[in-house]
Amino acid sequence: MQKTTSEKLIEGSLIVIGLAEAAHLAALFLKLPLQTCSWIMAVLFILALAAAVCPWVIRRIIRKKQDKEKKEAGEKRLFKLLKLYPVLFVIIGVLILFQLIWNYRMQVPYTAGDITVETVQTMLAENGIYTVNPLTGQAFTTGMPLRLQILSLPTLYAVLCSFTGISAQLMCYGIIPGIVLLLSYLVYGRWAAYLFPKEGKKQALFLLFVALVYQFGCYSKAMDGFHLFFCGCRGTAIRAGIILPYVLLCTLQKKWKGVILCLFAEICVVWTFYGAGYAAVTVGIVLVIRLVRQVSLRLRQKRKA
Amino acid sequence: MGVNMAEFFQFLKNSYSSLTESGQFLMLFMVSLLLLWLIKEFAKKEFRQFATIILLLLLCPVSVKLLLLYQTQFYGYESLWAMLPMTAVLACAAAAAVSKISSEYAAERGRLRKTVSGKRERVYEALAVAVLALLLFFCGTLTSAKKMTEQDFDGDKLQKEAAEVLRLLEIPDEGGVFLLAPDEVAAWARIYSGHILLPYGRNLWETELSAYIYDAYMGDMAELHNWMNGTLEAGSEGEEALWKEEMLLSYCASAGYHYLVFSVERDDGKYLQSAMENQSEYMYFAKTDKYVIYRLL
Repeated sequence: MQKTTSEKLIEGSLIVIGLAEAAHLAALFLKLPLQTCSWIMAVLFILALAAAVCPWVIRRIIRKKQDKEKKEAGEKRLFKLLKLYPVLFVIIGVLILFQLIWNYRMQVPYTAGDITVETVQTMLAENGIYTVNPLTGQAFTTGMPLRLQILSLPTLYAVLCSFTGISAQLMCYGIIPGIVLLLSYLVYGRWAAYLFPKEGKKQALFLLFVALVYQFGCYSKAMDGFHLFFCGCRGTAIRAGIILPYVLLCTLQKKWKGVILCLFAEICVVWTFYGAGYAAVTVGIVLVIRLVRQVSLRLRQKRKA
Repeated sequence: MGVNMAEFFQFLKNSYSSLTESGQFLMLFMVSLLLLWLIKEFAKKEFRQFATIILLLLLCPVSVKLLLLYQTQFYGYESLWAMLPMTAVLACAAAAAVSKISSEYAAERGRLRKTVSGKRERVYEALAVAVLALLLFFCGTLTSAKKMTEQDFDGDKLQKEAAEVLRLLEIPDEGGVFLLAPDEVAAWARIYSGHILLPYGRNLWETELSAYIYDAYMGDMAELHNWMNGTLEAGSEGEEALWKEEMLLSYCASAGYHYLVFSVERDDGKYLQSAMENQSEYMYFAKTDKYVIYRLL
């Protein structure tokens, strides 16, 4: 089944995290400077982009009639929804825009328990990856656990800063949280399509309430809204806003490629117990539910027989 | 074991309070989940079964302990709630409720043999959306971020007063400069620039960061930290207090700390003032509303 644009963007971002992880690990264990790591990451991204774009270009050149009709039907459906429920979509758009502006201009970073920006600044200053203590800028006296050194987000942000010239504070506290927020809305867009298939109004209402839940629900560190608005660059925010909802959706829909991407992405952005994290628990519970249902169905059938 | 159990239950109680003291989304979640179970037409049974099971797992102390152990207690109880599909359930139940209200209105009009006006139906829907939005608002927050983090921030996302100090420092493009400052300035120094070096890091006073960086600090660093923050043990008076200030200033100079930052109140202290006058390694560099900066000559 052909993926929607949202799915391509979500899974594309998870693949970006995976490629960043590969480049980060290579630089970490081979003790390569940040500049070399940046070039490795850039090459991997370009190759991945080429691998994604080329089949699409070839398909467009060949252009099978059925694909064209399906695609146009998909685009028509979106425009149809926008025409049918303009007020709803305008409100959703305004809310998302407000949240993006708030993130960019007014968001107040919550720094307790996080050393991401210090780490990014250290990598940029030293042109190295975990060569010195990020909190002091001096050589390590004891060190840093390897289970945290292997996480790729600070390196990815440092690479983005070095290529774009954007300051680490702006990248980590302004731009990345905005991207994470948008990706989160894409994930819930897929949720809307899953929960209310072919019911455009309910899908629009669902998205509206997602925006409101984020906005009003940022009062506690356990809430998704708090992660997205105050800690948007952290691995825990990406896990809460993108990975966990998407892995649950993919498991419910039996889209196993998406599940595997999420499991691997979680390993790259947050500490997990040898790769087993919250995404694995989510998948495990859904599979257990399915198993119990199948077993109880078989037992019922046996009793009837 | 009894004490451990008591501690664990106290820990659960404290963590649970932090979830529920400022907002009631958890309660809303439970109500939403109940609604999804009651709506016969709701087709996504696996989804609501998952939401129910994960809620029970996160409330039951035994399963909470197992989940914490599963992550070797690296994350706290609050982090476990990320697994709860709070946003999806709340939004789904709200959308389903609006739709249910609308269809009930249409059915009622049908029973009364009155035509269902499209405009009136949309008004009812809009009212339902507004009521649910208000419910979310009252159960949640519009607390300003400033209040949540208790700090003022500038456009570059740095704490305002710390940023004023850090922008005055002359920071080279290569190498680094050592800064010794109170915690509220030092916490932002490495965020502002990777070329500002600190004698001790945030993990000295934010102990949870010791899980990320294992570097510990010797006793003299702790003393330096307390001196810089004005929390050095009281009891020293007169000559002894002056001698202590002079000794620490001399230590800073010999360690090569380029910048010393004191709060205005701290700088006004008579012993520090006298010690500054008696030494020749540091000179006055700059001042902000709240801090005074000295530079190594």
